[in-house]
Amino acid sequence: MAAHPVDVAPARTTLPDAGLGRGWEASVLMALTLLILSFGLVTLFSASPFVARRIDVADHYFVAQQATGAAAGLVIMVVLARVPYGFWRWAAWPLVAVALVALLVLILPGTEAIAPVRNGARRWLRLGINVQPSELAKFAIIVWTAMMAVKKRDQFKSLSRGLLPFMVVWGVLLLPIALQPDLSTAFLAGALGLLTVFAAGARLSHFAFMGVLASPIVWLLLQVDYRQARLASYVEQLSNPLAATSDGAGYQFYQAMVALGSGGIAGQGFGKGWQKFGFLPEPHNDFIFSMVGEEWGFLGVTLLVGLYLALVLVGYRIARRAPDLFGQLLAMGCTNLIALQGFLHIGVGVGLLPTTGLALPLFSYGRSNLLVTLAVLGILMAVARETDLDWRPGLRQNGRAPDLARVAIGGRRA
Amino acid sequence: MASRRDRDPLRFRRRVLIGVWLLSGTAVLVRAGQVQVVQGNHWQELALRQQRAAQEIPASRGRILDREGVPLVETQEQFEVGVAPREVRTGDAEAVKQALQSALDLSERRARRIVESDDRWIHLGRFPPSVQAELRGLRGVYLTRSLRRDYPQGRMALGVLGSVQEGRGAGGIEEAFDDVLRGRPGRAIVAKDPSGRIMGGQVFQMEAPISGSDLTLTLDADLQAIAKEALMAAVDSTEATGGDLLVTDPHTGEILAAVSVKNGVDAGLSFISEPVEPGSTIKPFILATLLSRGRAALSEEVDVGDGTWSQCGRVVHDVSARGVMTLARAVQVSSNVALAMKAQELTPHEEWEGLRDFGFGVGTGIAISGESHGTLRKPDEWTCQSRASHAIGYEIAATPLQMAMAYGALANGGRLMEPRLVKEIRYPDGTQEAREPRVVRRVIRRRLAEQITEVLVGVVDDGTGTAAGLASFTVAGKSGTARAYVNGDYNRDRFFSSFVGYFPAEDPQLVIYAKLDEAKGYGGALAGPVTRATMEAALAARGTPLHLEVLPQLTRSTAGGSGQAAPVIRFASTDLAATPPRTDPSIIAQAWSPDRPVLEVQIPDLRGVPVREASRILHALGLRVEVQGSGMVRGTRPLSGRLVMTGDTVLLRSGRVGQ
Repeated sequence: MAAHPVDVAPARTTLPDAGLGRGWEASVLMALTLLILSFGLVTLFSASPFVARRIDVADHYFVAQQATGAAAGLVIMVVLARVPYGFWRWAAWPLVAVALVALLVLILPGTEAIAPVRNGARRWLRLGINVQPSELAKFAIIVWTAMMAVKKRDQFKSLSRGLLPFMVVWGVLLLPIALQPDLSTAFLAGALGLLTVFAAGARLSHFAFMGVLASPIVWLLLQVDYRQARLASYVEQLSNPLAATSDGAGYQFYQAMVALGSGGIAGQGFGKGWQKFGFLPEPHNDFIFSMVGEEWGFLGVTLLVGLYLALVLVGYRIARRAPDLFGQLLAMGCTNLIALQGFLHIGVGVGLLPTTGLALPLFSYGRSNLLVTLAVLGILMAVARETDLDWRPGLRQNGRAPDLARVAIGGRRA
Repeated sequence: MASRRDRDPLRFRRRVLIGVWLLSGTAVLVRAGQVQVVQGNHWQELALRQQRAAQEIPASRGRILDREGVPLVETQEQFEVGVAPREVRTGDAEAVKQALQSALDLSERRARRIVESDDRWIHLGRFPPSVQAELRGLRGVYLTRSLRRDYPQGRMALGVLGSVQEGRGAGGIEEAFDDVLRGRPGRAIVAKDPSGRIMGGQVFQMEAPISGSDLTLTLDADLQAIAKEALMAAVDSTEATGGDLLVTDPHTGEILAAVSVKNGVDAGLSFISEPVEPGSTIKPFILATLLSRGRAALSEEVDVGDGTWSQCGRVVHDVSARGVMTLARAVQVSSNVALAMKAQELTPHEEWEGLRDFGFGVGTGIAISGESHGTLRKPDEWTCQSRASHAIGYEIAATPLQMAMAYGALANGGRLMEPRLVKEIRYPDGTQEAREPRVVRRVIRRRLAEQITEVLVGVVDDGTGTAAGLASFTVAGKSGTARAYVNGDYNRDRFFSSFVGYFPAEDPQLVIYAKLDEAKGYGGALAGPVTRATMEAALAARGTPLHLEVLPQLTRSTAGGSGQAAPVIRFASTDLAATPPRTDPSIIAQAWSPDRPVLEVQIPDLRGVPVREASRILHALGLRVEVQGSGMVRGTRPLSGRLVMTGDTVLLRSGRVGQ
């Protein structure tokens, strides 16, 4: 038995100690999660009452909603931390299927009763609670791509057999998202898939080819006036934020800059920000980072960015130490989901990126996003936990994770 | 290398990704540093520009008080209440409705309609500050502070007080003392919403306004009311077009009451702005000029002959004076001929100088604007008639105030005072600055002033001004009648009738000037009774600035000796035809003597008497009056026949009340 640690089966059925594993990574991840989550709730508490009043609900409405989401999300996170991550390999296709069905319901005619138009787009399913299928789609894409990348790793050299199948599935998922319309999320989800494939070793020339393919689409998208205006104002604001004006296309950017800049070094103080009173659009959601900048200043911004970077580094450490390639790609995908969303949101907040409406994970109001983020963190913990399970010490040789595609835990053992 | 790649095949790509994320994080932080640290001040400024507004908080304008501290004008804080029904939250609707109902005293139906309305804005009007407590902080209910000038004593002496327009004093005291009254507005930094509207309830910084200073005037509210009443009544009964009534303190130049009535309204300032030819009231000053320069003596005899005298083609007439009389007597009977003749003893320059020294043709120095200097031409512009004309009060014009001040000089031992309207300034920090009386100049010697006073006492005792006499005090005074100069010609029927008097002659305390414009009749008969009515009422009114402890000793009457008699007081009628009955207000003067601080009086039966007449009667009794309605008195409270104390208030109810 000791000679063939790969076959150490008995311990597998009874997982030892249901905690977060022996390594420190999962615990630190948990701590970071709780820190950011609390910071987020506190910020939401300050940012949302005015928004709540405008839609005639109680001042604490958003905080209460988000808190219930956080509670449920934490439960899901802890549960998923104990689910062997091999499960997701098995669940990848079903996830894609469920996400696709949900997305199709959104764009199909005749389903307005459960998929109403809000703010000119159909993004939510009313199923007792409001569900955002695109969040599920993002999750499905990172899981599915990780699974598929392990499978197709050997064929990456071929465009048609390597990258093309990925693009087909991504396309099927992204198109309905783009049609909601929610281009930001479609772009985000696509980028997440690409990042995973990139990490798995896809050829760079294929990326270049895809870029060429995509350029007409980008050109088409830019034929819409407001997008051009946004782009133009973006180019200008990027070089010189001080030139921003509060009218027209630059309004949101201007208000975000005013919020951030007026925070100065130490911030206006908690609850003392003023941009939330109708100046910043969506101060509880798309521009919640600006609230941090205004109320907590450069110190708060540094702290928050530092927390996210720490979380990303821990995520990548977990990926590096993952027992197998799927675990590694899955962990990277999960980390990228948080990192990319965070960067896109904060990048907009500091005026480095054109204005889009993306949530800041663990921060922005929105329970679908929060649940998916916490689920993804749970999966990262699961990977970390399995890395350090003491019933597989022998598998680690010279500190490296062997190609454990064959020794994955869960239903998919070769 | 190959083996290492096998062991960790994703190492490079993973490191690239880690690098990308670290770079992104750094870029974000650098950018945040640029915006927050480097450009922080700039954005902070822009933030303040769009989030904050500076609001001026108007200072509460200072009060204007009468000499006893009774507020004549004060600033009232009010709140304009408006409701934006759409902003009222559904959950709060009931609470808002109830608050509006109780705070603003609305009906339940109306309050509900307001709250449930679809209108954007409903303005509910101005309310006292007390509504704040219930309405502040309610969503959708807006309160705006405003300050209103309020006149607690009614609109009296508006000409003197002036008004406030757009925060600035306009006319009268309000304008002259605008700097003092205005105070300094405060500033508040308040919140703006994105549409630029002020958000209620958020004040970041506040520089409190400094209230204006209070002004204590020399006016006496009671006396002012009495004077107005007396003048209005006289204007009515003589069909005059208007008139002026001034009460001043000769020793200090203080103006205690000043009423100018024109076309039935008392808001004018004609007592300083409209000079008229004084007529015979100028004679004491011609006499003073003659005596002071040794050109005549009081006992000197003058022959007025048949009462006519001519010079340079002008014929001067006397109404009644005939034959030989002393100069003193000539003034008492107001002989034009005697004065015109005697004036020839003076050089034009001497006459001009004498009149100018009494303040004619020169501004008095009163604090409010709009004063006319009157007319007194330089001798080189005189014609050969001028000396005689001046002697009888023509070719010269003086404002009522100039006349009152000039008579004040006679009453004040020969010293001309500057008129005073403001007694003191009370600064908001509690300190006070008194405005001291100012002597303009000594015009004549004290002895001479006393001699002229004696002459003027004779006018009132049995000269032309008997209608102004008081039984209790010696009154010095002089009447005057100038033909009204209407449409370029002197009118034979219409006169400016005036009377100036001061009393008690032994120690003058009040100067009273009364003038009726274009009245039918002669000065003494017309303006005299007004003066007397005013004097009597002034004695009766509480708070009259007479040194009352002195008065009883000066009374000639003995009626007050027993103090037991229930005083039955009749009043001088201002009716033209009637010979005014002598009244006996000594008993009233006695009321304030130190030994007898108050006096019981019986309320007379006033039913059927005009309200104005009735209030004069009650004033004379030493009672304060409150009037309800107008027209004829229907009853009093307390009822007639009851005994009340002097100083008590009696309510007059008139027939037209509530119907």
